[in-house]
Amino acid sequence: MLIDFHAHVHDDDDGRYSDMLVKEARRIGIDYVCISEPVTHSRDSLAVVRSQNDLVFRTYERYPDFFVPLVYTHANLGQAALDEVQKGFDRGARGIKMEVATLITDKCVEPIIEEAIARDVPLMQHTWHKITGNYPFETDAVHCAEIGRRYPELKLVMAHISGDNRWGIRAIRDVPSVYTDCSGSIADYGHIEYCVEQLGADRLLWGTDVRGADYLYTLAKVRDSHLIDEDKAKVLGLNAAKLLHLE
Amino acid sequence: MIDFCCDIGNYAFREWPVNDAPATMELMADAGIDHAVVGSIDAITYVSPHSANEDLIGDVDINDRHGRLIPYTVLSPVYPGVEDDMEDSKDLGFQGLKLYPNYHGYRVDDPPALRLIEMAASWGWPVIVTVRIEDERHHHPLMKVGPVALDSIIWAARQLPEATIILSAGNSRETPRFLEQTRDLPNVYAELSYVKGPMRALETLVDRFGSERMLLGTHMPFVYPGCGIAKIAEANIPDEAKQNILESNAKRVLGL
Repeated sequence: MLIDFHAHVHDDDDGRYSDMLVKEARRIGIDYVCISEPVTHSRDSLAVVRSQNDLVFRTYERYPDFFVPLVYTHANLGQAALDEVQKGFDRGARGIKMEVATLITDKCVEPIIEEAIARDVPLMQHTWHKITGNYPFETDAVHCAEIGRRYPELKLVMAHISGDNRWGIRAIRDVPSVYTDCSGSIADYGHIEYCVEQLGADRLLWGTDVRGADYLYTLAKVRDSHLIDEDKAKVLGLNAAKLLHLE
Repeated sequence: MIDFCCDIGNYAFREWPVNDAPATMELMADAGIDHAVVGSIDAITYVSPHSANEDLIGDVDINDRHGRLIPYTVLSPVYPGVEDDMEDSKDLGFQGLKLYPNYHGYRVDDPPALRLIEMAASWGWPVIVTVRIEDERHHHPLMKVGPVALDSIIWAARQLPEATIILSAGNSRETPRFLEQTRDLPNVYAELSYVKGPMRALETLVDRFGSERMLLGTHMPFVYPGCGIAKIAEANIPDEAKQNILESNAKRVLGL
């Protein structure tokens, strides 16, 4: 089973992009694609968040057996953020996505975390460690580790192995409740094997970050790694299926 | 397959298991790569790079009995005596020049670099100009090196149309811009190691520019070689285009 845990559809008003995505993903043999639509240019607009979620759920409704939607929210919007999450689950969401509107350690995120725990769904947090400087509310791997320790029952997914994968793996290796996905452009030689060695094969999820990334490039870093077949199968889909309660 | 982005040696900022010719050739064999154009990684951070070239050629001479590695010398055009290092490189068996302008502190469109490229061209040597060696977000905190300005490479290529110039590690925005602005220069190529997206990246590039000026680049040992290969070999593009990018264009550049 092949599940892309981390993809985006972007400005897909007419559905052409998602048609192309489905065609390409199926050509490659992908069974499910998790989609969400983050907002990176504004923290305060509920309308934009709603519009992005609407795009995701319209896309999901066109291909309900292929896309797995995550509902996106800005926790700093308070009750409205929680309402948006609840609406998302009414429309079929199987997880929650957050980007750069808040640090995951911010107080305002706590109701969202509690909602994810109550629903037993994954919370995917965009995470990066940049030597060039993070955005003001961009979560670092050390923040994910802190939340993982504070909420061991939360299924937290630290996206992108935090970009700088050595930093990210080190930060979360002793926090067993934190998962990570290897989506994105980083394909450092040996980092997939190192990640599994340090975290175990059950905590790593394959993802692409399509549309920004290429399916074939991002698939090869796991498929062509030196993991044993059993671990590859977990990373490429079985772990995601378990987290998302997919058959 | 012929890989136009492969380096051998130790990197100042990170350890890795593949740091000499035997380990590199083993990785190449696993990935199905027949030949690789190789430069010294150590030379990138040496102030005076040539001693690292000498180490590389020693490693290649001893371990590469079948000519699978095609060594390129890494030099700084602004270092005193660089012309002597070029001559020495030729005598040692190097077959091309690899430049890292932002690591050695010069512009590729300034006279010293143009003179060295001209010298290489007069010997029929291709010249690789490397935009970056790793994601700028993950550099050492005390050594943040920005990407090489694309316009400087385009300008250099325009000044020396007889030179074979290869853009290396240009990203998904830089590479198409480079190919667009050098359309009329048949000796100018781009290797594709840093084109990691967007979805169907190769289809888009081949649709826009054809397949004659692109080369396989894996960026070994920094990156899994399979990533650079898969995006070409498994792309939804004609077989002829795959063959061009994976091998035929490189043979033409290398005179094989």
